[in-house]
Amino acid sequence: MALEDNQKNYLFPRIPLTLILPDNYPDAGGISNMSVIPKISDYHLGQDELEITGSYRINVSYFKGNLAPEKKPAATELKYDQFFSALKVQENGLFAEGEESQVSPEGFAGRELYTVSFSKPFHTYVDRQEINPSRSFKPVMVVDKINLWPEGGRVLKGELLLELVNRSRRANR
Amino acid sequence: MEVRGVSAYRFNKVYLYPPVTIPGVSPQPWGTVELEVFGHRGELVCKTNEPLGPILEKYPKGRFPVFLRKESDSEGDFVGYLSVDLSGHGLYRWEFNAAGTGDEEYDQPVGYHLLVGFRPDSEQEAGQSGKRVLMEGQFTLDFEARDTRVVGFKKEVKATRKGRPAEAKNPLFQKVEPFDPPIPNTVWWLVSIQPDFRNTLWQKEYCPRQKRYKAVY
Repeated sequence: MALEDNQKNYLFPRIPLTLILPDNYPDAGGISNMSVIPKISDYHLGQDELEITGSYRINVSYFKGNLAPEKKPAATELKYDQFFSALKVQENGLFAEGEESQVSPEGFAGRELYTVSFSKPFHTYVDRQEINPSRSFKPVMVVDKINLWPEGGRVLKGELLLELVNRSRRANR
Repeated sequence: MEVRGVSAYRFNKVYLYPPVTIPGVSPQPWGTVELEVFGHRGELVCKTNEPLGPILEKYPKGRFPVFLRKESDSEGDFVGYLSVDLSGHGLYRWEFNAAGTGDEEYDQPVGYHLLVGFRPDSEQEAGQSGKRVLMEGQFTLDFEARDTRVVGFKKEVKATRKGRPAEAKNPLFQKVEPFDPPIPNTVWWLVSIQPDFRNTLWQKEYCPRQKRYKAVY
C-alpha cells in the first residue's frame, strides 16, 4: 500500500457535493472518471487544535446523455443474469475486436468525454488529540472516498471523504 | 528536496463500462479503478462490481488480463491478471512510478485507457488476443504511469552474459549516465520492469548481475 507509512489518520466528516455543470456543457448521462487534488495551502498547529486552510479541485469527465430518472431503479437491478446475457452477446461477435469497431453507439466505453473542473476552498480545525502530532508533523490531505452521479443531467451529486495524514518523513520516496 | 513534490497528491476514480450496453438498461459501471499518487509513488486498485465467479464456473481456465493503453498508442501494455476473491469479485492491485515531475505546470497530461479483458483459455500468451474487452475505462494523468525505477548497484556489472555479443544487452536495463546527483562508486540503472506476476524477475536473463540472479531495487 502506497500510504502505509502514514502515522495517524483523521477522517473528516462527509462533504456533500453538488456540482452544477456550466451552461455551455451538455447534459451528463454517466460519469467516466474523476480526479481529486486536495491541497493544504497553510496550516497552523496550535495548542489545542490544528488550523488548516486549503482547497480541493475536482475534475469530472462525463459522457453526454439524457438518462430518464425513472430508468434508474431498473439499472440497479443489473445482476448475474444480465451480466451473462451481455457476455453471450459479446461472444457472438460483439466483443470489441478493433478499436472502434463493434462498439455499439449505446456503449459508454470509447464515447466522447466532457471534462469540467470545480475548485472549492476549505478552512477547518482539527482537535489536536485526533491527530497526536509528532515533532516533525506535516499534514497532507488525501482522499478516502469520492462518489459522484448525475442527477437530472445538469447537476452532479455526490460525496467526498477527506482524510488527514502525516507525511513528515519519506514522503517523497 | 523541495516540499512541492511532497504535496503532489492526487486521487483518480475511474468507472469501467462494458463495450456494449444491454438494451433497455441505462449503463452501469462494471468495475471501478481507484488510483492514488503520492509524489512519485502510485497505486492502482481495480475492482469489478459484478462477480466474475459465475464466468469462471463456465470457463474454469478463464483469466482476466488487465491492459493499460496510452491514448497515443494503438497497443496496450499488459499489466497483470485480475485475481478473483472468495466473493467472486475481480481485484487487481498495481504499484507504479509516476514518471513525471509531479508539478502540474510542467507535466503534460497523458490519456489512458484501462481495459479488462477475458480469455477463456489461460494457456495463451499474456500479450496476445488482448482485444477481447470485457470492460473499459478512460482517464487522464499528469504523468506517465510506469513500472520503472532507477536502481543503484554498488559496482559496475556486466550487462551481458558470457559469450553473448554486446548488443544482446538486456533492454530492460539501461545505464543512466550522467545521473544526478552522482554517488561515488555507484552505477545507476534504469530498470523497466513489467509487473512480476509470474516471478519472472528471478530468471537470470532479467538481471545484469552474474553471481546473484536477482535485481534489488
